[in-house]
Amino acid sequence: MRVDDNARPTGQSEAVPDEGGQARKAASRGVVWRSPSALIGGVLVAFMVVLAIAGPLIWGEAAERIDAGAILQGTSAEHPLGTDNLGRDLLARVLVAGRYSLALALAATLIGAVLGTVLGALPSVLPRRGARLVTGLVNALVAFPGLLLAMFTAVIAGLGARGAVLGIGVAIAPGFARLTQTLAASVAGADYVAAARMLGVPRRRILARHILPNIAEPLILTLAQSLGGALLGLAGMSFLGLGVQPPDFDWGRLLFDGFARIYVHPEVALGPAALVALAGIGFNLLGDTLARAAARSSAGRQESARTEPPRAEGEPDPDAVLEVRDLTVSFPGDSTPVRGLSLTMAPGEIVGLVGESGSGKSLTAAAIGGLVPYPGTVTYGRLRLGGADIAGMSGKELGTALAMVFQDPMASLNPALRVGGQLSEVAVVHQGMSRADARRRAVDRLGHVHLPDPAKQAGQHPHELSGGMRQRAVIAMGLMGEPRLIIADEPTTALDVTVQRQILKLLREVVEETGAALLFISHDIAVVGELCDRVVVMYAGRVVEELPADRLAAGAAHPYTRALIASLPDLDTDRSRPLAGIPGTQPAPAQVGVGCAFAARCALATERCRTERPELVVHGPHRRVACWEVTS
Amino acid sequence: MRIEGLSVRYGGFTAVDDVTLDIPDGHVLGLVGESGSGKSSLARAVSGLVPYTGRITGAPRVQMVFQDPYASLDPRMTVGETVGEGIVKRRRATEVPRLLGLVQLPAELAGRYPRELSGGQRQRVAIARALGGEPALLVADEITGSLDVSVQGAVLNLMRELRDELGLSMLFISHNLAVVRYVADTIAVMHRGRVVEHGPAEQVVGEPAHDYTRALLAAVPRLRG
Repeated sequence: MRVDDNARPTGQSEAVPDEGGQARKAASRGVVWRSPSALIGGVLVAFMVVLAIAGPLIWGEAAERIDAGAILQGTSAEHPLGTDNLGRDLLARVLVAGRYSLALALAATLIGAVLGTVLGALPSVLPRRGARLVTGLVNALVAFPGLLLAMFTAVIAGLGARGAVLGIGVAIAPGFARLTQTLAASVAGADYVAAARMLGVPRRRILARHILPNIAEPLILTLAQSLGGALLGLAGMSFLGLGVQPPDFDWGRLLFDGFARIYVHPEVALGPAALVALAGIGFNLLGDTLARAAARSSAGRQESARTEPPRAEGEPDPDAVLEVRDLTVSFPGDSTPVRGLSLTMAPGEIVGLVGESGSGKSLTAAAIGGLVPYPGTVTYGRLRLGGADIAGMSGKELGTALAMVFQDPMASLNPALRVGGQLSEVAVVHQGMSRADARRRAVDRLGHVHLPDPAKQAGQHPHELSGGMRQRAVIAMGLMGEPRLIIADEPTTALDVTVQRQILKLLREVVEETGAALLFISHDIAVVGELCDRVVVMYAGRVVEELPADRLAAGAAHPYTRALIASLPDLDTDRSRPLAGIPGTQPAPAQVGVGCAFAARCALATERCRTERPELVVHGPHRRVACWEVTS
Repeated sequence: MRIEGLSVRYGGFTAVDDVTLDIPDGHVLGLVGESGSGKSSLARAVSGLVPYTGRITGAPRVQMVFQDPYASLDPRMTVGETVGEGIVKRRRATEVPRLLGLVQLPAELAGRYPRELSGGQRQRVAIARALGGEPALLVADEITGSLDVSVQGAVLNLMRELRDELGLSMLFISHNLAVVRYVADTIAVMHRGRVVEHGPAEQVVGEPAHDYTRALLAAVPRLRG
């Protein structure tokens, strides 16, 4: 995958540790609530609630006071919105009508929501034939025009507020039913529902315990928006004369009464119309805001700040493809998933970065590619790619010099576009190629990664390819330019061993042919040992050992590296003995203490390990290790 | 337990094609094959989650542990509620701590939510839930596939201990032959919906009879040197 300002890949596995993710979510939530639309929505809804509570108490009397001397007046100082046919003040009546209008809307929404949720949930409980019948009914209702459904119901249920509320409720129900059905279907396919079924949990309990709680959130969000819709619908019904009947009045009724006089005194109709509109807007904005606050990725990407870079000593290495000095990635809340990492890579070198989830290996890759998600902060003493500072490179330069391959090829490919088109776009955007040339190169590159019949495959959509073929296509995409560095983040984790073997072979071929360096990130030390020239082991954000890959089996020094190797079963493992494991868990990025981060899980740990952190020091040719027990 | 002439079809596509396998009591059958070979479909058929043709005899209660411990626990239920799901109410208070103990988790974890647990802990919870159904056969579908190597070892050890202590029969599925070899008594190799080789674990790994088994063996990543 090319790094490109327009198409930042988001499919990073385990890139953000939990702490960072939560902080980010909290921060984005704050941003959502401070947006202008959220503020306007909040203020409008608050105003409506206050109006509904206080309106009748304050203006109730004024709204009912009949004044024979002031019938059907227009705007005056005494009556800003004029008066009605009994001389009652219309401003007071509009303000008082708020409570009734909002109460009716709330009732209609609740009726719609309950009816809809029940209808939508029924198919998950009923036997197959009944489920089909209900689904068909919902489909038919969704296709039926809402207002007609409302009027139809209102006419049957009888003229007046009750009929209108029922009508609007019935009109809202199909939308809720459809939503519930879709959401329930997606949860019903979850593994935990399958597990409950195997345990013999009855269907209605599965519905109540598993399905409904997991779909409640989007349903409640829709509820807020439906409230706005119901308000408008009820006003519409009253306006058509189907709703509230005198002497009761809501905004729709006032609008209906005022409409006859609109050519003489437009203000008498504008008052209620404005309030209906404001309330509708308010509830819709509030619903929008709730939905956005609930959505996981709401903040959008922002440039991660680079503050006070620590200066690196010495001259940059002119021969290195990648030179990283003191790279640190941190998130708000004292969470620092990458701590002062340094790494130098030579052309054509394959370096494996290995560690458990949460060790910071994926974030290291993200930081090199400028992909650390907001609100992460990246600092470094030096970060150079192909002899130039990455900070000074344009998106285009970085896009051709660096290629990235992620675990899930589907996340790097747009499912709606043909494979060939996506590849050629890279060359058109970054290298200024003509469409025809780019197309030819795309087919050539696809052939290069051994996709059979590349010209035909170029015309296919990503979903038509197998997992291994997709990953090949993503690698081909990286080869559209002339990358100096390829970063592959768990590229074979989602593939099975036979396909994994092929992709590893392909990556090696690509490196030999292009002379690019490859940074291969994996949690599987056996895969890393097989593919790479050099292995860098990370633990809790730091490099704990660096060694040639062929020394892994016999010459690993750090207790963590040794434990990783020992815990891996191979084809000669003694089956009569338990596998060696590593007791305990890796500390979270916010909880790494002063000493060696591995001390709590290490059999060799002494008091010194717990209080004083070992630096990464040279330990034999091409080897470095950070461990007191090994080096002293 | 015996699987006889089992086939699973999705529309016109045959995922599992006439498979016959025996799993004696207290025996672990390892099932290997690449993705699309039909091993997961076979697991789901045995667990009663997909319709099949053929006969399954001698396994009245089957429980399954799924690959992804992040998707197989209901995020809105506590560990205790999840583990106690298949247990009658009056026995729940005593059974849940016992099951958590079986999978070597502290009983205090019962009040926690899945999001507070690591991947390995979640997988143990999923195993405890399956054990709560008192299975005659436990189906484990790639249960270490999404775990770190350091955690994988502990979960594999646990599966072997459970077999030894409870005499549990198991259908253990993985695409990694080294993992299957460590846990299973016999290994069946699946390829394109059919079982192409079936025999004692050491024999399948040591003297593979089928070309596809040899290809699988060659693909297992190994450290050099």
